[in-house]
Order: sequence, then C-alpha cells, then structure tokens
Amino acid sequence: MTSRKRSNRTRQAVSWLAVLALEVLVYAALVTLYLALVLRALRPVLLATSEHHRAIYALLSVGLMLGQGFLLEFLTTLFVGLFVRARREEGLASPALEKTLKR
Amino acid sequence: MDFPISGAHLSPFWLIAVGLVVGVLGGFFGVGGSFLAGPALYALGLPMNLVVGTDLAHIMGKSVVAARKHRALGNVDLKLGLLMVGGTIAGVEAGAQVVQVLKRHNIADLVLGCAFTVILIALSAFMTWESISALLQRKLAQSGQIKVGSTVKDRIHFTGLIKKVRAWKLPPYVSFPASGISKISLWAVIGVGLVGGFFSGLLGGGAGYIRMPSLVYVLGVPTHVAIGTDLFEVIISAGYGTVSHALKGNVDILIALVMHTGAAVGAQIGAAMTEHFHGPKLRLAFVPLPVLGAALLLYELFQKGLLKL
Repeated sequence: MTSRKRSNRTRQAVSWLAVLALEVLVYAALVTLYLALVLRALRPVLLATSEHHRAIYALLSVGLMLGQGFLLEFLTTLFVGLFVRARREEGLASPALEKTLKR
Repeated sequence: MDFPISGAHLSPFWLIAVGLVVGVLGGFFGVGGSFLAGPALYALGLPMNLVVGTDLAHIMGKSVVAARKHRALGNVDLKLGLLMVGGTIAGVEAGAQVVQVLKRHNIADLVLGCAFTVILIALSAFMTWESISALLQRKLAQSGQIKVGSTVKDRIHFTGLIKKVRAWKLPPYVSFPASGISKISLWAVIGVGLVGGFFSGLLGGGAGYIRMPSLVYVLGVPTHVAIGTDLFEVIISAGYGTVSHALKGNVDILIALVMHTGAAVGAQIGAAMTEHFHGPKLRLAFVPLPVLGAALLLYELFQKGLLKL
C-alpha cells in the first residue's frame, strides 16, 4: 500500500471517528434532557394507564418506542448533516463524511 | 432512578450503558441482543417476567433504527421480510403457548435455560466451523489453487442445505431478486419465519441468533441482506411480543425508553460498521456472542440452584 493511500485511509478514519464522537455528544445532551423532562412528565400518565387501562398502555408502549426510535435517528442525522456541511464549506469534507451525509 | 411501573430502583447510566453495548452488537450483527440484554437486566435486579417483556420493547425500538439504517444501505429484502411475517407471528404465539405449559408444570426456568444454552453453544460451534472453512476456501480461490464459478466475496461453505431447499417442489414459488434468489418455495420462507418466531416466543427477544443464520444457511440470502432483513423481522416479533406482554403487566416502558437512548446510538454505530466488514469474517466475529449469552445463562442457573455440579 502506498503512503498516500494509507494517509487517505487514516484521514477518512479520523473523519468517521469525528462524526461518531459528535453523534455520541449529541445523544448525551438529548438523553440528559429526555431523562429530566420527558420521562418525568410521562411517568404519572404511564403509571395510571399501566394500572387501569392495559390495552392503552400496550399501544402507548409500542408508540413511544417507535416514536423515540425515529425521533432520535432524525435528530442525529440532522446534526451530522449540519456538521458535514460546515466541514465541506471549509474544504475539509472527506468521502467518508460525504457518504455519511448521503446515508 | 425510580421506575414506578415495576417498582424497581435502577441506575439510568447502567441502563444506557447496557443499551449502548447491545445496540452496537445489534446494529452490526443484525440480532436483537436479548441473549445479553436479558441477563444484564436480570443482574441489575429486575424480576424475570419484567426482563422478558421490557427487553422485547427495548429491542423493538432499537431494531427500528437499525433496520432503517440497513434499508438505506440496501440491506433489507422487504419482499422476503413481509412474506416471512405470517410464519413469524404464528411462531411467536406457538412459542408463548409452550412457555405457558412449562410454567404450569413449574419447569420453565430449568427447561428454557438449558434449551437456550444448548442452542447458543451449538450455533457458535457450527458458525465457527463454517466461517473458517469458507475463509480457507476463499483463500485457496484467490491464490488460484481451486476454481470458483462466482464471486468469492460472500462465499459460504455450507451450501448443501440451500440446494436441497431451493429444489423443493412445493408450490407456490417466489423469487427474491434483492437476495439473488430466482425461485424458492414460499413454504420454505414461511418455515424460516415460523422457526424464528417460535424461538422468540419461547425464549424471549427477537431470536435473530437463529433467524439470521437460517436466512444465510437455509435460504442462501447474502449475509449483509440477511442481517438487514432479520432486523425487519425482529421489529415484527418484538412488536407483537411487546403488546402481548404489556397486556399481562410484564413491560416497564420507562426502563425500555431509558435503555433505548443508549441503544439508538449503538445501533447506528453498528450498522455503519457493516460497510467495512462482509461475509465469512463477519460471521466469525458473531461467534463469541452466543457463547457469552450461554455463559451468563449457565451462571444464572447455577446461582439459582437449578443446576448443580
């Protein structure tokens, strides 16, 4: 393998790791907010339905899991997209970053 | 943090950490990760009935994110997944009924624990043998020592069963262009769904550990498509299981939601990793996971005194 190819690979790996680190940071912030606000607010409603309206609780459970799944994915994709665009404007976007944005 | 639905007091950070690890594994290998998440929740102090139900809910949420990632990468054969659904749901219900029978006879923990352990060890042994054989075959093909008629990128060693299943004369027949299958009996597809669903209903979780290898070794689906399609199927079996267990009071959705916050990012990392690893090497990397699950289960069986030396 030539040294240019190797340095290209290293640069791509670093870019990929940078995106990953950003995703983790965004998630950490969201999770803290989520635990503090959303789950605390949902707790009494979920407790009441789990005790008295099991069918509604079952549907709520599925809906909440699906909703959270899509929401978190949407938010991180959005943040990664913003990050890649900023890097592109600086002329620093690598193919790995572009691929992440397309995905 | 208090979780009033189950009455448990658990650290949210441990839940997130467990979710993250299981998420990476799930996104990478296409399995729900119940064989690790279940024992981990049990070890954190959740009763077993709540472990099963809550884990199913968490697996469903995680699989949705991972399946979307795999679909974007072209790894989900939607037609195959949809045709398997009937078999999967019937299998889940059949498995759940067997659990009820075992519970009535007070032998559920022992029988299910031992069955799960045996299945996981057998699965690991088979995949080790098959993946090493395929890697050796690929090496020989690449060095020109043996001739091959097709691509060696996703070669599998164990093709006898695939040929037999594809030769079944049992109409109706279907084709799956996305998986490179030109003709196969619909019953074979439903059968794979049924077996996967049965194990999901019997032992909890999404049963990706049995469905994913079945897709590869029985139907002949390429490994990366099998992973994505299996995740789609996990959503169905875990979704059905979540509703069923929530109706029985076995789901603490707050625990599942906290765990999922870690699992969601883990699943994205895992799915992105599959871009760099394919075929036999990927299958070989899968091997330690069922072994780890089996070890955890054996430990619990000995701890409970259900098994003695």
